[in-house]
Amino acid sequence: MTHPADTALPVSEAVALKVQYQTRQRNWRGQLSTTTVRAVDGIDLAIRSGEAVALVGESGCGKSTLGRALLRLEHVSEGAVHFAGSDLTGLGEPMLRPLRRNMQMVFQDPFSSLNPRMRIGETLAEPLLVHGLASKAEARARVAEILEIVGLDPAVATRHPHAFSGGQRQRIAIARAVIARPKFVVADEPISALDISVQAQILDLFEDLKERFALTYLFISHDLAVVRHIADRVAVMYLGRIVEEGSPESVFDNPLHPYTQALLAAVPSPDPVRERSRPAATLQGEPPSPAATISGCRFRGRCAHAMPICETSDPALATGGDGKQAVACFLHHEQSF
Amino acid sequence: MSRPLLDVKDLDVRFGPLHAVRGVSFSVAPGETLGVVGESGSGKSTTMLAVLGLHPKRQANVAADRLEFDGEDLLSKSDGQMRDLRGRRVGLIFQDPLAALNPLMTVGKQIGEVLIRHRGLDKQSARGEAVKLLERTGVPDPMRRASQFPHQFSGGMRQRVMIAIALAGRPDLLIADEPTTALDVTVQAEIVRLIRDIQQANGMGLVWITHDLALMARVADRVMVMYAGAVVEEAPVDRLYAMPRHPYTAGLLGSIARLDQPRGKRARAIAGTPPAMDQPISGCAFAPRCPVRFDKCAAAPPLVSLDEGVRAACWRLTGEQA
Repeated sequence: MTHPADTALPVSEAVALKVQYQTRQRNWRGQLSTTTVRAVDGIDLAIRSGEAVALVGESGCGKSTLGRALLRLEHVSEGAVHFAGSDLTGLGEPMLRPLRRNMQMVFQDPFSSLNPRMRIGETLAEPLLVHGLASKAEARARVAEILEIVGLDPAVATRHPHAFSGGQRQRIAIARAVIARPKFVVADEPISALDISVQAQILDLFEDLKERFALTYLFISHDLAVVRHIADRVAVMYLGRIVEEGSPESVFDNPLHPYTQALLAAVPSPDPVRERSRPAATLQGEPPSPAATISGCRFRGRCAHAMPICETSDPALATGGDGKQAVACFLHHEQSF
Repeated sequence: MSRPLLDVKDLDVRFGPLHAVRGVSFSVAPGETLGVVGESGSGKSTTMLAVLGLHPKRQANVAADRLEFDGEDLLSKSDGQMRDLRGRRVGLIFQDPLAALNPLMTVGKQIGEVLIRHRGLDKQSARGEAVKLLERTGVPDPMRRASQFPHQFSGGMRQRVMIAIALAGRPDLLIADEPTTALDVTVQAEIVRLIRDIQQANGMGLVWITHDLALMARVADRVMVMYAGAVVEEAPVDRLYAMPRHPYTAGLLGSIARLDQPRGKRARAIAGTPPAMDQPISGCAFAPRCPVRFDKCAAAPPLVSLDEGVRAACWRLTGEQA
């Protein structure tokens, strides 16, 4: 990447990215067999500065692996991962470490992501001290400041995680992620472990931080309703691939991919009258295993619109509809070609 | 209306200093679905486990003015009698089917066990019936699947197995405790349809516990909202969503993100967190988080009937406002 002045330069980018795992199993005869799990199976995704991108999909679709691979917490099998103009693909941990302050992660479970033996103040100051960004005294001031920003009393710095509720712990985990002013944050299901009344509080916090720090983030979630209200762009994943991508308006109001349509149709709405008139679910069965070899479109086995071409060719992500979104489906490819 | 299937009055559950359920009353009629909503720690599961006699007697202190199933007093039953009741007349489905299934026993055997114990079938016919139950709960290839172990099933398929086990005793009442929470939305939709279809075919009573208000709108006939171990509101499902009476219910409904609303219309959070349950609660438990609290809330509000099957516990609704 040679144009650092270009503001459209992605902060984080996956290029034809594949992440695969080998699993070895012995059967009852003791014969060894190797299977390849294709968790991320050829993904192009660029996240630009100041953008909130939501990644949605069902469990096992590879969304968490993609998020972790963008931070190089996973090895890259094929393709490349870029961060702010530098290629992270082949870098080892010593080379990655100085970059880590600029790319942070928030995990789903705030009960396991905070060290129970460390005081909140120590946990929060650690990124600053590890990366040599502040003296101890400065770190203390920064900790007090960030606690206030995430809506906690600065006096809690002397306490341990057990003294806090799930929502408060997630505030602390978010504070730790943003205290070193990172360029990019991956939040992996950050609200799914929280109670409903608290979920909205944490979403508000993400919105607030995005404005305050011009934060760029990838928000991974299985909850489509949540994502709709906070994302600038939405990517829908199915079995290791992005099948549809676009603005929340286009993806949610005019979904093109049959999988996106089925997913949206399955989300319940808090309206009993509407629920009673809901048509029966269109999606049958379950996604194939990411270890299975699939020819053609990976969704065709569950798709109501499968055509002969879907058996032989794998649809690429291409602009479809009125040009506002990209979709990997032959139903929409003819229109744009 | 006929006699309620399940009739509970003033149920209290304590674990030492922890007062988990505080004076809960409700009933379930045959063929009806009662939805129980609440956040974690609100006492919704504890209430149902107490009804089923599943709290260890050494740890839990369960008391009630009335705890009746089909007219029989449950509090005076022995452990053995309760076990018979659970396998046969009352079915139970948990959130995590992997934890509830025996990993060392084939699925067919586990269903068969219930049939042998509670329906008196012999081994041969239990096996055939188990395959039939798997087929009925939508497990493809039930013959082969019956001889497989739980780890060979996906999450959605395991939950179908759990449902098959719960239905094996042909229960009159099914208690489903967050049966779809661990599942994806598309699988959730299928499981919901399955349970509702079976209910309509058998006319069994159904208690559906969930924290998901959107899902509740799909499954329940009547909804009971719990907060801090007590019922704060109960209403027919349409009325609850159209006109929530308790400020907590209104707050909950306002705090869920919805797909069917214009973007930009954001969910509003309820400030604060629920109270600690090992402390005595004075006055209204929701008052510290309530946007419309007033001086009267220092005293605990009673759960009063408002109109046609609507009950709520809030001083703002009793016409005694300051």
